[in-house]
This record gives sequence, structure tokens and C-alpha cells, in this order.
Amino acid sequence: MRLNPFRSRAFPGDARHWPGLFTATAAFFAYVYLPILILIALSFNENRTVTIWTGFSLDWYRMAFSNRDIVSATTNSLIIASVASVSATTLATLAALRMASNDRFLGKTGINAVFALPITVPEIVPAVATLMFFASLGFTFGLGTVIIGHIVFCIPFAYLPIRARLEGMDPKIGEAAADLYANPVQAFWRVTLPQLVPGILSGLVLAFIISLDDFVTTFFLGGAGSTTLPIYIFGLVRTGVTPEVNAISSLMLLLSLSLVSLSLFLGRDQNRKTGPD
Amino acid sequence: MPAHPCAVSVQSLSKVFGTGDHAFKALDDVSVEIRKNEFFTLLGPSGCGKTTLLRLIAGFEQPTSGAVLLDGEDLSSKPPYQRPVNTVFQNYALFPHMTVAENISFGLEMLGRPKDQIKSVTADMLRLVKLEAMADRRITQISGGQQQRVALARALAPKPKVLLLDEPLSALDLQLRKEMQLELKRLQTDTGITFVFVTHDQDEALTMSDRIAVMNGGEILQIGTPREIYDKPQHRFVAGFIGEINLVPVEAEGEHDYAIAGVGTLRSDEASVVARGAHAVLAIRPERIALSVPSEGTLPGVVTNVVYHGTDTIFHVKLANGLELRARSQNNTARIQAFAKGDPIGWSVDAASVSVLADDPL
Repeated sequence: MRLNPFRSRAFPGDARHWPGLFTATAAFFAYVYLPILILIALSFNENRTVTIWTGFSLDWYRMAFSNRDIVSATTNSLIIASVASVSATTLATLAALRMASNDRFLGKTGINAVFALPITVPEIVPAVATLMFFASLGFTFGLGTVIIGHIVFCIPFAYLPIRARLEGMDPKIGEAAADLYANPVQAFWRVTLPQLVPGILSGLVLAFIISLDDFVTTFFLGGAGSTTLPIYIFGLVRTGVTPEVNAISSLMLLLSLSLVSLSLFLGRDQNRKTGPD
Repeated sequence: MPAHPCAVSVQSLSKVFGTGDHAFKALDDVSVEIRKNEFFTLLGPSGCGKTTLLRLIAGFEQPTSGAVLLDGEDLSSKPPYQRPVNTVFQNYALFPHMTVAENISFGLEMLGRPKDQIKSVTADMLRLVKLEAMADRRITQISGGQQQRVALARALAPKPKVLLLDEPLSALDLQLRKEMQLELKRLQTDTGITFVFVTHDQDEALTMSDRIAVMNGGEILQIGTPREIYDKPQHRFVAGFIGEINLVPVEAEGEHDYAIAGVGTLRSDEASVVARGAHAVLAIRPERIALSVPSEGTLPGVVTNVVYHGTDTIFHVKLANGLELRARSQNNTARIQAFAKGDPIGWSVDAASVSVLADDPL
């Protein structure tokens, strides 16, 4: 008989001791991350044939950077993501501030419920609807229409972390500011906003990444000169995967990871107790 | 113009929350005059309206009717940020993104005081609450007791006319709470600022206050010094809420004499609040009951229980009419108590220690 002090103490419902847990976990992580690791590795492959490793090289990165189409697609992606995330975050901040105030107004509950709805709606639906709407208005499809579309679907992603941050704030803090002679404008700039910054940054980064990654809305609302990286990569893949695609994808991954790390770093809990004295 | 003797004058203040069936009357026609330089305590159970009264003075709530005057000036139209009162919140509500010193100087900055003044007052305040070494700490890097002192310093820094304290000690452990009680009293004496202190802790109220207002159900039942509140409760709720007390139903026999049915007669120095023959209730503190062997001038009873508490002993004494009294006897000698369970005893109360209350329901 094997003596295992942990096992003997476990109760049957404790998921930590279910058989096959380790294998299942390992399989899960392999399934999610192995393809990405392979893609990154192959982006440094010297050989043109994606599946044959012949040696280390940075040629594909060099080629990607000197490809004018890629540079222009990257520029478009960054312009769209920047404008859309900043606009969406601004609107989301205003909305969250209004929705978090504890007064009641007609339809508040309804508005609250509808806010997160765009996240659950299949993206193709608003994309097609917006396409028809813009077409009926006679808009010229291009960067502008893509940006408007991105702002719309970015708002809920920016809204949720800001709202969560607001809910975590002590409601008495606002009263304390008023009590200490801060008028509502001063109270907002000096007390509410500084505490909201981590939430706003999370919202901003999330919106930026979601926009950067978007394909469906961009595909439907885009026009001449508004090709983004995902659209460009999609076009490349149709004619066969080149290591160049691996290089661009790796760079996008690097950018996303840096942004998320930055947002985690900036939004880290500064209220965490670091020990008295 | 004559100086106003009272700092805060609360006039027929009512506050109703909600409407229709959900309406809740948190304050019901409350009037009170809080004097200058006074340590005034609002004491009562939760939901009695004490915090609502404080919030109305601070301006966080608007009264349904009535007014709050500060130094004779009506505050009704002023938002909180224009009222020269400051609050120490129950959970402190310190600004977590600022340092200790930034928290303390916030009020002065908002008032637009000159920089050097802000600096010197903040330094004074840090010294007053003994937190000089913590000036540049973040709020989250200091202990609960230190946060409490920052909250106090932050509220005192703008030199308010009145300092409102909303159960500021409730989050502290017992030891720290006892220390802070003395500290608060010292600060009040040193600064000469009027303190309005809200608590549900009778011990806090008795040890710190100049005067106490006991509240229940949105009303002030009695206002008086701690001694008056403790020794001369005028209401059954006040008698029962503060300390332990025996409530003895009696019938008025004369102006100062009260008959306990089937037991005997007790005297009180207080003139009767009821007519001869009417029912009343005598309120007697357990420590004011003297126990002896049955003799002339004492009332009879039987010891039904003896509970030893270290510093004192509680005797449960059953009377002939079935009523059970508690008598507290201080253990000021190591000699074994004379009375045991089942002993017949005599008991008496000094006429000065007997309060007479109307026999109205609680």
C-alpha cells in the first residue's frame, strides 16, 4: 500500500486529486501553445519550405520589414487600433461613470444589460448590418468606416474593466473629497480619475488588441487602402503559407504580449499591502 | 452681534428615505443644540438615525424638513464642499492613491491655502497624531490604527468648526480602541473643536462625552451628561440601553414612595412622574442594590444564583412576586461571599439611586 499524506487527506470532490488531471492539463496547454511555439520557431527558419528546418535566419523578418504592402498594412492596423481604442475608451469611461453613480433613472437596468451585449452577438451580424447601413448612407468604404466599426465593438471591451474598477472603489471616497472642500470637478480630477487609471488602461489595451486582431468587421467595412495586417495575412495564406507570414504573426504576438504586460504592470494593485513599517 | 452659544443647532429635522410603501422615516422631528467646544455623542443602536443625523449635518443628505444651523447660519443650501465641517468616516475613506501627507493636506489645498501654510499645518497635524515618520507612506502601507489617525488628521487639518466622527473606532481592536478613546478626548481638548461623535458603544459614549444624546427609532430620547444618562435615565429604552439595569414595576403610593406588589415599599428622591395609584417603573442599577441578612428596613428576597466575575459578583435575587433582580457586589475583599444559592436575604436601595420612569412601552 502506498502512503500518500496528501491523497489520504483529500475528499472525493477535490478536483486536485481526480485521476488523469495532469495528463489532461498537459494536453490542454500543448494544444493551445504548441502551434504558436512552432510558428515562432519556423519564423526563424532559413528554408523557404515551411515544414523543413535547415537553419537559423532573420531573413523573413528582414523581408517583412522591406515589404511595402506589409508596412502599409501594419500602419493601417496601428492607426485603426489607436484611434478606435482611444475613442472607445473615452466613451466607455464616460458611460461607466454615469452607470456607476448610485442614482436611478429610467431604463438604467436595461442599458446596463445591453452594454455587454455586443460581446455575445456574432460579429458577422453587426458587420453586415453596418455594411448595409453605411452603403445606404452612401459612405465611401475605407479607413474611416473601419474605424467607426471598430469603435463600436471596442466599447464593451473597454467598458467592462473600467466598470469593474469603479465598482471596486469605496463610494465614501467621493463623499470624503466633497467633505474636504473639493467641488465635483476637483473631486473627479483629483480623486476619482487617478483611482480609475488602472481600469482605463486595461480597457484601452484590451480594446487596442481586440481592434488589432479584428478580421470580420474590417473585411466588411474596409475599402481601398484600408487593408490591415489580419486582412493582408489572410490574403497571403490563400496563396500559400510563407515563412514571412510566420514572421509577421510572431511580431503581432510580441506586440500583444508587450501591451498586455504593460497594462498588467501599470494596473498592478498599488493598494496591495507591502507590509507595515 | 452676540456669539452663538451653540455650534450646531438642529431644528425639527426629519428625513424620510424612499416613498410610498417603502418610505422609511430615519429621523423624526429631531431638535438638538450642540454647544461650542463640546464633545457631543449621538448614541443608539444601528438604524436609530444617528448616522443619518450626522450625514445631514455634513450635507451628504438633504433633510425632508427642518434645518441645520452652524454658528447661527442656515446650511440648508450649501453642498458638503462649502460647509466648514469635516468628517472622520467609519472606514476612513482615505485616498488610496495618495501618501499620508497628501491625504492630510488635501482639504487645505482645496481651500486654496498658500503652499507654505499647507506645509506647516500638515507637519503640525502629522505631529499631533504622531505620524511624522509615516508622512511619505502610502495609505496601504500603514496599519489600521495609523489609518485611523490619518483620517483624524485629514479631517482636523482644515480646522473645521465642527468635526463629525462616524463610529471611527469600530474597526479597531479593543486594545487600540481604548487608546484611541483617550487620544480623541485629548485631541478635542487640545484643538478646542466641537466634536459630534456617533457610536453604538455605550462605554465609548460614557468615557469620552461631555454630553450624550440617546437615540432610538429616529428620535432623541434623552440628552444629558454621561452621569445624568447613566444615573437618571428618563426613558425605559435609555435605562436598558446603557449598562445593566433592573426595571421594577411598581404602583405610586405617595410622592416618593412606590409599592412593589407583594414585596414592600421603595423610596425614591425623584418626584413621581405619575399620579398616586398609577403604575410606574423603577430603574435600579445592579451595583446600587445593597444585600444584607434579612432585617428591619430591608426588603425580602431569595438568592437564586451567584455568578462570580472576578472584580465583582452578581447575585440573582428572586422576590415574592416572582420578579428577579440582579445585584452587583464588588469583590473588595478576598473573603468568601456571605450569601449562597437558596439563602433568604434582605436588600435595600438608597433613595437617590432609584429612578422613576413612566410605565410606557419601550
